[in-house]
Amino acid sequence: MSTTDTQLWQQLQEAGLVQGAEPPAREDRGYWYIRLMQGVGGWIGALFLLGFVGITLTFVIRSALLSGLGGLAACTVAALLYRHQGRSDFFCQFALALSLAGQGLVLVALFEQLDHQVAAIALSMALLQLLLFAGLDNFTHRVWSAGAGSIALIEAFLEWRWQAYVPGLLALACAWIWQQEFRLTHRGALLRAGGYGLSLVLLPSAPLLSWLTHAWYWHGAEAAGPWPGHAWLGAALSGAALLWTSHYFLQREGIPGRSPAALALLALAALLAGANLKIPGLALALMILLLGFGQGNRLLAGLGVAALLGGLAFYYYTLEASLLEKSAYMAATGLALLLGRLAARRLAGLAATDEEPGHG
Amino acid sequence: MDNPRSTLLGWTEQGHLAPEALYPAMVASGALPSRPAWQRSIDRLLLWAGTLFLAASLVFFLAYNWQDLGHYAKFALAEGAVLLALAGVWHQGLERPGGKAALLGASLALGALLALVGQTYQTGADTYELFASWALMLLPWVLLGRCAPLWLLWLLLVNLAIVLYFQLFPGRFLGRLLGAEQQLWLLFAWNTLAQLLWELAARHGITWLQPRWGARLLACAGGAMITALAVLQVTDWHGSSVLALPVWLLWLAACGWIYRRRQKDLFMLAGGALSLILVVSSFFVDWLSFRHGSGFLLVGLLVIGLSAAAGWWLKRVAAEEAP
Repeated sequence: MSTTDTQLWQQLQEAGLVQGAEPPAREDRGYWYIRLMQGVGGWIGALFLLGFVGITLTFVIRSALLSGLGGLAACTVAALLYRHQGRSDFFCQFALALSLAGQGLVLVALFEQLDHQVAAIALSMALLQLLLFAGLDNFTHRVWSAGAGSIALIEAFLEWRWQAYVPGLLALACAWIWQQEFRLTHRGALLRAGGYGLSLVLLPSAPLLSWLTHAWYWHGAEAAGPWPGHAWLGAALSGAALLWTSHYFLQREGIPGRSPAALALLALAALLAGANLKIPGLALALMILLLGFGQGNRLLAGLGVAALLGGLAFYYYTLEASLLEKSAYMAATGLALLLGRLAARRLAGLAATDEEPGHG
Repeated sequence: MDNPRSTLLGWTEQGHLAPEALYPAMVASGALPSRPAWQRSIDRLLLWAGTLFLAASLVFFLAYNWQDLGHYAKFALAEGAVLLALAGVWHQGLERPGGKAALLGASLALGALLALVGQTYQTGADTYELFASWALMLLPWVLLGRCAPLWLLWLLLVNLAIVLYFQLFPGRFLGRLLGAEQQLWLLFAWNTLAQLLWELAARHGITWLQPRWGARLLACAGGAMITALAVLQVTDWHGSSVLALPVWLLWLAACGWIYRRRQKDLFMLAGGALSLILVVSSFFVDWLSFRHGSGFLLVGLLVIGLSAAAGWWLKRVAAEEAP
């Protein structure tokens, strides 16, 4: 075990939280960048496996039944490999590629069978991803399933013209998952995989869907959704997720709900939730940033920062408002943030000192 | 140093730490933020986000090019924003977060002002000249600011200037030696040099450069460029440079030695492994025949094998004590 792990164990022993000998050193510390590298490798491998099937077993691709069965068989073999050879890096990578290739075959089968009924195809893929999430015991694959399933649901909602609700619904689900991380510890790995998958899809979804919606409108297609209020309700859902998350952390930190500090911070969160109506994705990025920081999850916090910066850059090109209007929204939000900081310093006791820890 | 969070979660999954003890352990180990950390972070978030939004609003406004507003009013707005931000820097001081945020605001407002100059006077300057001028004028502030995000903004501006330059003048810079990808070469050289200097400065005690995210971002940029160059050469892309593969091998070896032996950084090693997988796969994709499908199977298995081997090796490295 590393020196830092030894020190940590001793610290927990002194706090009375653990007893006995130090645990052996962990093999897999779950570094996200190792998983990402392996995930990319798995994806590339899957594409080539699909190519192999496509050229060598052309009769499979041409038959909806055979591709569907072949795809499901591939996913089943992948599940068995994860179960019985889960400690082997090679078999885990092979299982990932096999499962991805199998999902590709199932998608081909659905397109051939359902004759381009996009919503039905999307819902079927979402169901498949749910089954794979539950059945394939591998963290990287579960992140993929959570993300791919979310994308499938987004596609279905797009077909129904209800896409305005997607970011808010995903945000609520994401907030719930991360809030349960330390409560449902026996399902911790499952929750984290689902949380990452949802977060990765959630963050670009709001600005992209907003752009897509207005691109339709701009090109003379029917307006997005049967009722313009959908966009407002959808944005309100995202704002509600931010407020809920803020309230969760205030409770967890033991700050009374009616205290000046809590009211100030909730008012600020409500203001930002309101700004989300005009700056799509703002509430979601802030929610993820808050969740990441509050859960001690630097990766998640980093995703929130990246989403905030990327969202700002993307906002420049969106079509729902002119640059002049967007400038006004940004200026109002910026002023509100800075004034909110002043108010929070007085009411919530923020940062009495400006010294950074370890600042040199 | 490992974040205690991942260690505690691992111990809980393995049964060494009781589930009900996880949250108190997280608090006790400092994996979760303390009350002062919360206060400080919310304060910083509001400060930096507010500054960024205000500066961005100025950029958006000037980009709108509102015809109803005269030139003098627009210049007054842009110059006023720069001066106001600099006044904030003077009032807060560069050591305080408020001063650094004000300096970021001034830096962004400066860019908006330069864009306004180009927009108003129609000097015929190209877009790359805007970013190059911006970077040049910003350099003294960046040197004084001693702020990692500001340095990354400056490096981003230089990268943008390079990209935009080559959109206008492809093939002008050492064309014969470096082939058709001069842009990629220059971006690789620039970002790798920046990474090297960043790491040296951090190693020599400049604490505000020591958090790893800055060097890692630069490594991603440089690594992406040299990987692209190597892939272009192995796939025999028309006009590709013969130097790409040797330089890529040198880069890979240097990364492996530095981040394995001198300063263990798994992120860098994982990036190098991914680069190796991409280049080797590209080589076989170019070399094999894909008429009968066996080529696809071979390359697929190769990629799977390489990524598995890389994962196995990285986990072994992670399990070692830091040098």
